[in-house]
Amino acid sequence: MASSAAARGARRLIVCLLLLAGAVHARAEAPGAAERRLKAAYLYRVAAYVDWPDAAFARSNAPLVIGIAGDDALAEQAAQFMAGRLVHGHPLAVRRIGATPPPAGLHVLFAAATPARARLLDAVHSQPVLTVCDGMPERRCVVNLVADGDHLRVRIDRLEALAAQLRVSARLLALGTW
Amino acid sequence: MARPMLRRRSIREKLVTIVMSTTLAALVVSVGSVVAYDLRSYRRALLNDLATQAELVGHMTSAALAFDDARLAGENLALLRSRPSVRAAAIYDEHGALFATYLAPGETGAFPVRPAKGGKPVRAGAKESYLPEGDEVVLYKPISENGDLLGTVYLRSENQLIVRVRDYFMICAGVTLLALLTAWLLVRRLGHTITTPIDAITGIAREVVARRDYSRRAPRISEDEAADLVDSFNAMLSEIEQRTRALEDSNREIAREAEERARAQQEVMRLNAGLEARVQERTAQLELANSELELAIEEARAANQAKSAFLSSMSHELRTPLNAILGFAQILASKDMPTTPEQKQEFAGHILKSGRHLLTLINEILDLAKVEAGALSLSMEPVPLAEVMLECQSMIAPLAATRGIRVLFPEAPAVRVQADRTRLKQVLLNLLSNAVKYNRDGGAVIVDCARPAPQRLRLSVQDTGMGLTPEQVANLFQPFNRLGQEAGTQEGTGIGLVVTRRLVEMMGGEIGVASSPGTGSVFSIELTVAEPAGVAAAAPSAAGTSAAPARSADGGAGATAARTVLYIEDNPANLKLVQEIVRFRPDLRLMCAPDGHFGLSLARSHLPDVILMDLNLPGLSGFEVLAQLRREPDTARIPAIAVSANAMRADIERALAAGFARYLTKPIDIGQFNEAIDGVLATRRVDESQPQ
Repeated sequence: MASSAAARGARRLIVCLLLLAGAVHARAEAPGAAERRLKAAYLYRVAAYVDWPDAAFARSNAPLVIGIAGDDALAEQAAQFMAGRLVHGHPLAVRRIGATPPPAGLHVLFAAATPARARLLDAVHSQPVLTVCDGMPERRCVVNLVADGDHLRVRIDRLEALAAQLRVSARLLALGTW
Repeated sequence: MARPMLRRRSIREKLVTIVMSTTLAALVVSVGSVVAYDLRSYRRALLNDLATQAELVGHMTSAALAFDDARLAGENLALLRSRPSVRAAAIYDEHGALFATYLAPGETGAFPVRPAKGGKPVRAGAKESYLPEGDEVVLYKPISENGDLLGTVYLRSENQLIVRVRDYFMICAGVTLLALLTAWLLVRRLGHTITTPIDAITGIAREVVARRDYSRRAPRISEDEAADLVDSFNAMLSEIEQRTRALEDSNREIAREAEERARAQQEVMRLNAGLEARVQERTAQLELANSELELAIEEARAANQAKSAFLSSMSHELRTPLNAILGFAQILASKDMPTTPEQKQEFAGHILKSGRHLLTLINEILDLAKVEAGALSLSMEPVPLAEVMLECQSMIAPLAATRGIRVLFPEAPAVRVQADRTRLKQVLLNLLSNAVKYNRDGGAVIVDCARPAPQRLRLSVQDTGMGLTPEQVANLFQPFNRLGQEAGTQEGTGIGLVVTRRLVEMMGGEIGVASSPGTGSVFSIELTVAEPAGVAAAAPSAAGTSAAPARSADGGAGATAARTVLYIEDNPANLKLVQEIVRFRPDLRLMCAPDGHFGLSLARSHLPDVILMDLNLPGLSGFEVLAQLRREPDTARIPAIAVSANAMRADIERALAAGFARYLTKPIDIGQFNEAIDGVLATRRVDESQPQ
């Protein structure tokens, strides 16, 4: 038992060292890359807790289209992250949204804190589009990503969700609502 | 007594043991299966419950994990307060780092650094896994969302299964004890229904065995197999009782039989003793018979010796007179020995005397043989004693006179005795001649008559000879035992007394001897008296004397004409003798034939007046010749006279019956010969004259 306990201790030590190495490596990346990757993951995870109306999808295996506006690096990151993943059985498709009005068929719209954000949000208002905002909290956004120190908090606007005909999981709502 | 008690208790004990063990087994099986099933379901329920909690916590916490909200995760974990059995809970993030923890009140303890089961990291989608750690259970439950591993729930709970097992053990032990106690009480209570009937049977059986009282019966208490046992036992008892009674009866019977057998044995022994006595008696008889047999053998041997002696004596006695006859005859026949007529006369006298002696001897031997063979037949008749004594007196007188011996006869009593006349005379003459022969010269012979009984007459002849010793008296009646022969002077055959005694005995009389050496002997015979008559005594005598002159007269009358006599004889000497005899008879003419055939032819041709013939002829026998003569008419009436050496009475009677007129025995007595021829011729003459 003593030897196995010792072995277990040694393993834990190795794991801790690896984690430290990973942290060092992350730190070594360009600032903001980790944040973008986290945001990409959050986009993906939030989508998993939200149900769209059936009309939002033309077919049962139609792609879930994610539009990313104002942050190309994130779009790139998200496309990379979401390649091959499924949400509710739908493949994910990432679209870069420019200043132009967002295309129809969007399911998720990430809007960075840019001046054009309000217009984008208006364009998809009352549509079954899950809007995600970061930076400064936006009133007409369903999901706000709020930085809390090192953490990135999720805030759900239930009214906006209702307006957008989206059903948000109670578990997601438990994280924090307006 | 201890063993049956033990055995009885043992049965009850066995019953208790059986019931208890059965109960125990049933309890163990039933309670064990129930408990096992319950524990299994309880364990499953427990683990399910735990897994459900972990699932719930994980599900609730998945968003917190996804969006890195440790506070929310901690709050979710804190909800486990409502489950006090959960002692600790934790959530690890997708990298395995501790994300949120929960500890039950009063619980202290560390959490694993990483969620690991046996060193393997927890993967997304894997099932929950349990790790029993002492009296606690540890559960790892991965949290997945949309196929991605978000983290792991760690739950540490009290292992209530152990507690439950412990409780069950206690309950089972209590229930078992209670059930066993109840069963024991029930068995104690109900066992009597089984043991009591058996006890009753056992008690009865013990009493039966101890007292041998087979009339006892076991009571019938219950209505079950024990009752059957009681019935069977009782039936067996009655059977045994019956058998015992039969056995006792049989024993009594055997004893009685043994007694009878003993009695029979005693009887057998008694009979044995009797048998032994009889055997001894028989043995004695047998010994007696043996000794008698030996005596008889001895007698037979003696008789045999006597017979041998008799034969040699007889040979001697026969040769002695033959010697004289042949010797003197040789002298007479020899021409070399001239003899004077006086000498011839003397020698012829010697020959004649010896020949007569020889004839007497042969006659006596024949008599003896007849007597011995029992062939002698007597014609018993009343005989006048005086007449016989007179004849004897006249016959013995010349002999006595030669030796100067006086013979004194008493006055003859006028009495008749039952006897054969001829044989009586023979007996008296024998006694008288012996008395004369063995007397001294000039002695006396005294004859006496006495009547010892009315029907008995005793005649005694006393001499004055040398007398006899007792030994001599004992051997007196043996053949050829001539007393006085030692002296050699007296002639005798030695057979006379033997024949005499036999004759007397055959006539119903007795003969006795009394003698004293030196003074003389007395021979006496006793005869039966026939009748007291004496008047006719002289008549036969007169008739006897008158017969002789008549015969001589006949002979004189026959001289007138020569008569022819035919003689058939094969022996030349006998022929010659007859020729010589007939030569002295001028009135007879003799013809001779050597055999029967020639004789028959002569008879036919010459028709003789009388025929003499020998009976033993060659070719035709005398009987056949006679039969032939009688068949032919010419010769049928010729009288025939048999001349034979066969002197037996049977032969004579046979010949007379066959038709012979007379029978002459050889040697021929010339007087008798002449008388026979004369008699036959006289009869023939009468026969011839009658037809005329």
